[in-house]
Amino acid sequence: MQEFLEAANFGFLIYFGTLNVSYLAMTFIAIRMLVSHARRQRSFQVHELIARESAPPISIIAPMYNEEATCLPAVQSLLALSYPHYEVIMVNDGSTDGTLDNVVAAFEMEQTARYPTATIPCAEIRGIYRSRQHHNLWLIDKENGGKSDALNAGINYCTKPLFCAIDADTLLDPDALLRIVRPFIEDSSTVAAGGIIRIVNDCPIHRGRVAEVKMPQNRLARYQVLEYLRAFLAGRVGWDAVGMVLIISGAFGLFKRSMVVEVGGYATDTVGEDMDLVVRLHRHCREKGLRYAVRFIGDPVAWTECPESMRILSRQRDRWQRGLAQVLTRHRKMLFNPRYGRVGMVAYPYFFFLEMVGPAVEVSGYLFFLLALITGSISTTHAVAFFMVAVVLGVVLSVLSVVLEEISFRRYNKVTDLLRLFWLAVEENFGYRQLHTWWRLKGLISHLRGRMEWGDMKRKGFAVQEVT
Amino acid sequence: MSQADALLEVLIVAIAGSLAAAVLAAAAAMTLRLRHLFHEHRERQLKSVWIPRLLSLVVDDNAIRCDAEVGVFSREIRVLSQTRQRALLELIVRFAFVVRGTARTRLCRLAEPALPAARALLGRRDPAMRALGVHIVGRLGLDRNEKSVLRALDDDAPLVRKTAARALARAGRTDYVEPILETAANLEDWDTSEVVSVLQDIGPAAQPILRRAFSDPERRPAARAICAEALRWLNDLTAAEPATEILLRENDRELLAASLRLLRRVGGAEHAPAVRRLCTSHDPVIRLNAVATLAATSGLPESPDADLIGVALADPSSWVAIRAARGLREIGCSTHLRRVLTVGHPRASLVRDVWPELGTSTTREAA
Repeated sequence: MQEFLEAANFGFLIYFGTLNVSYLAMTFIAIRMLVSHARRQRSFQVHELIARESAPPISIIAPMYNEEATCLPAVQSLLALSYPHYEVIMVNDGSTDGTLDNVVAAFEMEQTARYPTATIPCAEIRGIYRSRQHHNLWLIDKENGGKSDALNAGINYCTKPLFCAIDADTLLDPDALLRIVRPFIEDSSTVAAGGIIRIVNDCPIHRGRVAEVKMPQNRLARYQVLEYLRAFLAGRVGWDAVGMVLIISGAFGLFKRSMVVEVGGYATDTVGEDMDLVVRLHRHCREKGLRYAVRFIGDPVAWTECPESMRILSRQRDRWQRGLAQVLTRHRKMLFNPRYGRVGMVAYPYFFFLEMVGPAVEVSGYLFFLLALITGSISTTHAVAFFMVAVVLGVVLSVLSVVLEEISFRRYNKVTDLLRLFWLAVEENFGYRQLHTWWRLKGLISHLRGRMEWGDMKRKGFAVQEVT
Repeated sequence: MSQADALLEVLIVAIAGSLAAAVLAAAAAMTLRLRHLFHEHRERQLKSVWIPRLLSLVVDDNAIRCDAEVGVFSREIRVLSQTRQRALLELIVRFAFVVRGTARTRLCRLAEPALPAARALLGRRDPAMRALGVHIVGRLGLDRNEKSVLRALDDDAPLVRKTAARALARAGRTDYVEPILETAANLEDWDTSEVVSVLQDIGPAAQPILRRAFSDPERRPAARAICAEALRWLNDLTAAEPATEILLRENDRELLAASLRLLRRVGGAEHAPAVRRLCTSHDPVIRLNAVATLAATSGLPESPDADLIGVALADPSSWVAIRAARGLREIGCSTHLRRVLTVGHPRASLVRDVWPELGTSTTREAA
């Protein structure tokens, strides 16, 4: 028994070491990238693009389901974007509240027709509307079929070479399209690019734009601010640097339409449809021997409202973990398969063993340590020391993500916000991280049980924060 | 020392090391913030002094007064540190992008004493910094630094090459067309419309050279397609003849498609025969462009071309069919479209859906 416990604990230590070393490596790669990015910005006049005819036309596709609280400011924000040629296609996915009526009334939409340019299967279309006020605003009303189905409907009616998939409750920065389109202009082999997601809770909104960036009042939301910084600035920037971006958030991504149509659009039988699409793009391009690039760009910002209650946050994380597990098990053929290059040999194994299986290993680690403590295999001093190492390493990673934010974008202007972020980096290790691991483990278990539903996500809404 | 003690020692060292790293990282973040605040303050200072000066230089009509001011300001610039000079150049370059003629010449003269600071960037290891150097030097001192910018066209980093090409194009000189075309040909990943927008920056003076390159069978089809697109954007009416020749002789897909798009903009009824035969090409991209071009060049609803475009309504590619519907509408052939709606044509639903897009006042007409 003792030997078994020792061996198991040794295994957990190896896992723990690998995880932290890879996080640290990603962070240091990201530091290099962001320094270089900040320098590049000095010779790039983003607003020059507005005047250029070369900016490729974009269709923004925003699925809505029961979004009556947030849909109007979201549409306003989309109509206020700075970009030379774009259209907005809102897709009402059979909402049961006033979403459709609100949008139709607010933007004077009238029923019209539009011919589909692709035939990705999707639920029945009930009607197509076009705004009389804004000729680049369209609305597709369809039977409920889920987010992926709604996105597929939008893609079917998309006539532009690029489409931007966003959540209807997302607010884009006015220059977000100008910035996210850059990799497509610089490298014609780019098939997809993702932007950063930031948290809008408690930020005042004015005419669909974030008027001032503020730290949320709610503690849970604050933890998520730090978490998003870690995930996007350290994680995705790092993966982008090595050309292995495997996830583009469903809340904000720009895609080459023809390529997405070629791979059959979004999968409707997974809750991780955003990751699934990116993985399929990788697979498709690698299998066909096409030159391609999937990018993450740190400066185009999409603002989203994050959950402020434990119940909703746990559901969201459960769904994210289920989505991750569904996608990774579905495409397991790529795991350690040299045919898929570094994506199959490095990124996929990382996500499979460290991100997907991670929560199970972590929770087992806690249990085995407890068992070892009870059976006397390790002393209390050792156990406390192990816990301290884990906590302090967690703090290092979080503080480094704040460093990344300081190197690059500095959205949180107040020094007090910076100090708060440091404190959060310590505080989150006592409770929130463990809870987070537990939610992810539940998600993994749900996946093994074959659960598919999304779970509801109640929004507070931007309107209450409107500046007068 | 027992194994357990050794392990504990390792753990304590790890905790201490990580703690130190956390404190260092936090200190780094604070230092970065303070540095940023300091920079912001310096930039504000710089702007408060220089923006009014720059504005007065670009709007003042009095040449003598401006020349005197440039002289005074130049002396001030000379004594600034290299970092401040660079910051000032970055500010001046922003103004130089939005003004032309005398105003820009004044800005270039003003920037002259600080240009060595930008030239120093050209030798830096980081491509982003080299690009910044090319960007500034190319806009504010191209005449004296032409060789450096031309050399940047052969830089290892695509970013620097692209920046150099754009900088040269903005000068509007025709002798830069060839080097830019060559750079574009070597940068296969560079988005075609972006290359075209660079060539477009040179202006109408580039048309003869682009036309020659477009007609040159020795060149790579991709480079010729870029020339065709640039000629289209420049509305070069004389490019219609070479485009027609290409339609008759070449078979590269991109080149043919670009030539068809060019003809759509600048061609006439006399070019329609060359376009007609491509309406039945096996390649949907060629068919699509041919149908659109035929509608633009033939022009009359009663011409036989209307029937040819009508046939394309039944094309297996919905993109070609949409183009055909739009084409029929463009040449005023609504009767043909109405017939499609009434006889149970396979594309009746397409016509019904495309109808409102085509500018008809109500959908009732289609119904």
